[in-house]
Amino acid sequence: MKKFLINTFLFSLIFLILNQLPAPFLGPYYGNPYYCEKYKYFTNNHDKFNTVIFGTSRLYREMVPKIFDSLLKEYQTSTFNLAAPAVSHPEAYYLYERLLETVETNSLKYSFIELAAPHNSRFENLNTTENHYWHNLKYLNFLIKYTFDSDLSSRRKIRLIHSYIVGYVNKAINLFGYKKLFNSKFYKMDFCLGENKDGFYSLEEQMRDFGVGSNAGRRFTSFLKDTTVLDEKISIANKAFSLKTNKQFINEAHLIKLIELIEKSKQKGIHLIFVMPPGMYDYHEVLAIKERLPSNHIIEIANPKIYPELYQVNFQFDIDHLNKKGAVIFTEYLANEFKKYF
Amino acid sequence: MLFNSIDFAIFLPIVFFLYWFVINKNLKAQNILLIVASYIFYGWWDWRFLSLLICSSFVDYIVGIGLSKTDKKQTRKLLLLTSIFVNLGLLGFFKYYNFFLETFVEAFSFFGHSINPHGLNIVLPIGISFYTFQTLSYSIDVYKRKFEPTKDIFAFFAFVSFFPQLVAGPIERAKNLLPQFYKKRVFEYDKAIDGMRQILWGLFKKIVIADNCAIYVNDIFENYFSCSGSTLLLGAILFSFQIYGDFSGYSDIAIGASRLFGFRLKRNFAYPFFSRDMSEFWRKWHISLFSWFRDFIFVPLGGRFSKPWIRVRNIFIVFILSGLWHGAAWTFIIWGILNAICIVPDILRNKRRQGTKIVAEGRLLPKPKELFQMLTTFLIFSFTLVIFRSESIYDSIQYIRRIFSISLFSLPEVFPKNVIVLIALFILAEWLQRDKQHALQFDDVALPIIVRWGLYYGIIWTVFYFGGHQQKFIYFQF
Repeated sequence: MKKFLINTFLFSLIFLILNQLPAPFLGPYYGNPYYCEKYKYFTNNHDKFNTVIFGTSRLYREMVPKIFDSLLKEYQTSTFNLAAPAVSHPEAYYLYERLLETVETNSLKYSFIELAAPHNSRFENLNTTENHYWHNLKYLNFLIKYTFDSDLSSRRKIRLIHSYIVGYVNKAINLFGYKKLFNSKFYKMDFCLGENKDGFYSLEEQMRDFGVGSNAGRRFTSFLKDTTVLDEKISIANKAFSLKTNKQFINEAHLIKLIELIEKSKQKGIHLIFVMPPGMYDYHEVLAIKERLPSNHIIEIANPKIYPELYQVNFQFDIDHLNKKGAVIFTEYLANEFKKYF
Repeated sequence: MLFNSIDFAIFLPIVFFLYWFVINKNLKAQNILLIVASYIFYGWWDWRFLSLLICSSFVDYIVGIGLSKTDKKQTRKLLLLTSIFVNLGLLGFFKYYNFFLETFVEAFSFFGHSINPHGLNIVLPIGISFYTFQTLSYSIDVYKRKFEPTKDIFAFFAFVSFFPQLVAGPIERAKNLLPQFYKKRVFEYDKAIDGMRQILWGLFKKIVIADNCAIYVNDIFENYFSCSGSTLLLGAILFSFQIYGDFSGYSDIAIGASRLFGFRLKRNFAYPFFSRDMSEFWRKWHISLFSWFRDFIFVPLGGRFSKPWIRVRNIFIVFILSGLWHGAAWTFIIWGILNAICIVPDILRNKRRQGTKIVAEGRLLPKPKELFQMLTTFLIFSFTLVIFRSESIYDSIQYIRRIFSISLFSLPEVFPKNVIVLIALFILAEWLQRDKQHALQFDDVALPIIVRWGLYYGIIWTVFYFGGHQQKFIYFQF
């Protein structure tokens, strides 16, 4: 037994050491090639921009910097869209915090971060590199506190916490380090910056560039086959917006995190605004949080009764994203709401 | 809990530590630990179905005790029927209820009658086909007085629920596994190390071979109507490797994990792709299931020494039941019938290869005739699998029809170079080690530690490089 234990220990130790070798070559954002590319461009050109957008593929595909800046000429905004596909919600906070800590942000005046509940990520995605490359103890702590504070069932809470811990261990051991290192050499990602090099790249453009057989194309054709799913999206949103209990339940951990981000931004002279775009998920937690955030730090553009166009088939690319026309409308709403506060 | 998950990577060392270091002096405590660990392992998926496992274990334990206490033929028969009724009842309800209901509805509608019964939304409990067969074999063996029933309830419950083989086999027989729970287990370095190697090889088969084939197979089978004949042929071949890598990979991990706890499980696969005919193939594929059918169906119906037509009938019965065991659908039944048809000529000619004798033994390369036979057997198996994998019989007929079109001679639309290279390396490794229990068995070769460890690290990184998209084991659904 002694020999077995010593050999197993040595074998594992060498394995762990060898696994750490690719880490220095991976860079901090290796799990999200879209963000890597956008971040690289932004850091090389950060003087040109005073407004940044963080969030998931929703804001990436729906917030058009060119339109936004043209509508806010009096504010002289110059916007870069740093939102990226497959970004989860606490990940967006992490990316923003890291940006504040590592990049010269003197020129930044406004930041927008998409607001949604962290537990809206799919279970099957939680253990992927994309979902744990950004894990650290601070964020693991936040995720656990957030999950405890949420009104999810105990079973779901346990499953989520378990997935977060497994993700953290995965990241610490760097199990997929070599895979990411070799694969990153084959990607050319500059397309994701878009034609105007402002970080906006619509799904139509992606389908045009990569064909109908691409992921974007498949999403589009699948949505066209059955657009009735949009009714379900509207119904979920209507239900959440009509609930009176919205104001009663608060996820304290989430609220504290958002206020912490607002304060951090203030210290850097940046006004941080959280944005709620239309999405196919349960809004009730974030709607309650919205009520508790200072009103000039939150813009909600998701209520189907106020923004019915954003739920119309002709402005949708797929169930989760607006098309280019829809994105223009969404951006106009965002700019108008912004004007109300400043 | 899946073998190819981080959960299991954490679970296994914890159980191992408790087993060998905390309660190693007490056999009963070790068995209780194995029961608790097995229930956690099973309940990780859905704890509610633990009740079925406990029910099946309890009934067969009581039946065993009852059989040991009586010599009355009538009572013994009644006890056996209780075991059969409970085990097959559970299996029948959870696995076949909706299938038989739909079949009845279709049969009635064929004769012009329309009935509208209530179908149930039944979830199939993982591994139910495996553990019910295992407990059933215990009761039958005890009934036939081939095996002394146990009074040790912990040993029996541990035998039924033993986590390495609980959800996808090998289906163990009481006479092989149960006595191992009575004896004090001794840790043996060589066996434990070999077990670790077998686990590693199983993970390679599952994650590198099966899961990578699955990506292309799923795509081809879902869109077969728009694929060329050559692509469809490639899809069928890749599915053969997928199902082999998936299922034999699971068996390897199960056998390897058992060895870490001092147990020896039955071999479930003996390099079936190196078989020279279909009857040899079926003696090397899912050995534990087919030996179960042989002992409890084929032999009682007359066995090898009955008249040829009786043997043919029995072969059909065994393969139809085997098809039905795999799934409650007509595709599986037809698949079983096709395999029986493939074996019948060997039965009628009374041609039977001895045991599972290794092909080209003592030689590096097979003879051209052997190579031809192996390729033919593999292709026949791949064709039968098209029916196994298809959603319906109609789809499978269309799939095979499309293979034999002019587009069979065109280049496939998809050509997964990486996967083909990996499969080639995999076949090479299995061919070179075909006289061993698994491809990483190095008992008689004194390789320097740097070579061995280098090989293990290489395989581990290959697993992580090509892995990442965790897929469930196919045989979980059976």
